[in-house]
Amino acid sequence: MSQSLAQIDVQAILSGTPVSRLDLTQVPLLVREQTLSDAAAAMREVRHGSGLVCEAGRLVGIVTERDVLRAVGDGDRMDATVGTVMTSRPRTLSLDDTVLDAVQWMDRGGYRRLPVVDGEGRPVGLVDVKTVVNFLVEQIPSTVYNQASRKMLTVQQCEGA
Amino acid sequence: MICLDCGHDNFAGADTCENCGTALDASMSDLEQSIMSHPVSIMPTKTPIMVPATGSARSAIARMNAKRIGCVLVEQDGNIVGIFTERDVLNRITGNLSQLDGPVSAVMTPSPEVIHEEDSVAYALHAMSVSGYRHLPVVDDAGNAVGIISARDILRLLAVRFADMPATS
Repeated sequence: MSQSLAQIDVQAILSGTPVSRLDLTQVPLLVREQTLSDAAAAMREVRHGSGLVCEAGRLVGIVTERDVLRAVGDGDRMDATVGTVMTSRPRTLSLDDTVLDAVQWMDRGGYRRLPVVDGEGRPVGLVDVKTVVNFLVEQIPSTVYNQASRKMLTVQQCEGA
Repeated sequence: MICLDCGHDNFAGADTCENCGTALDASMSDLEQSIMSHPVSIMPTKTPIMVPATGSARSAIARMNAKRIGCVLVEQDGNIVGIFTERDVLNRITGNLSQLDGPVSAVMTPSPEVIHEEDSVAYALHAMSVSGYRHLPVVDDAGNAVGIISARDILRLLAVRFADMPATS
């Protein structure tokens, strides 16, 4: 390895990378009138835990697996409509916001996912907390991938002794 | 710890590479040093909620909603035998609501990957990245669950490090 990856300043990368360069997650697009049962089926199909609710092509809300959990626990209310359980007007990112912006909004707002919208408010995808974590791991792969559990090391050392 | 220059696998905590003499710590950014030197126990985690494997999925979901959490650990005979998350509810229950009254063990994710409380934050990142899971139960020497860390907890740690950097929007 000629160029040390360690020289790369991770912080500069986070603040210099627009979210449009991330692998944005494509999630189901929903309408208010759909049942939660329908929405859950759409989420299962893409193996993702949220859907974006649109009206005339513009983002108006987000439904997540937490809403589903609540509805299931609340007497199997899977026939409720998306519009009644969604979070309206969620915090969004624009295409030129940076990965650092995403990190900071996820921290401040406790968001696990942030929809990305274009200049007209149309959804183009979503930044998931796991996408950001994976992005970070890609920046410092040797530090992360060469990790062994301290627990496992202890066991190996005992066996070798 | 692998030397970035020559690839030699050094003992954890070595200051210089045993093979080529490169200073190991100095070759890493602050962030890398920080995530390698800090154990996951520096992250504030919630006390894990345990549910019995023989209990119903419905009662596990009631606990999750009451505590406003998305994940519980499933135990049997004092051991962690599974993890049950809101994703399991979405994937395994919403299409078949009759599962609600069956045992949680039928719809949980069995034998979850766990990390030790003394493992580094870097190792947690590794385990999460490799397994693809968003939650990692943290255990002590006796194997008792002492916490659960999520991808968001790790991001939160990073956000604290970068807290003096304003968002551009």
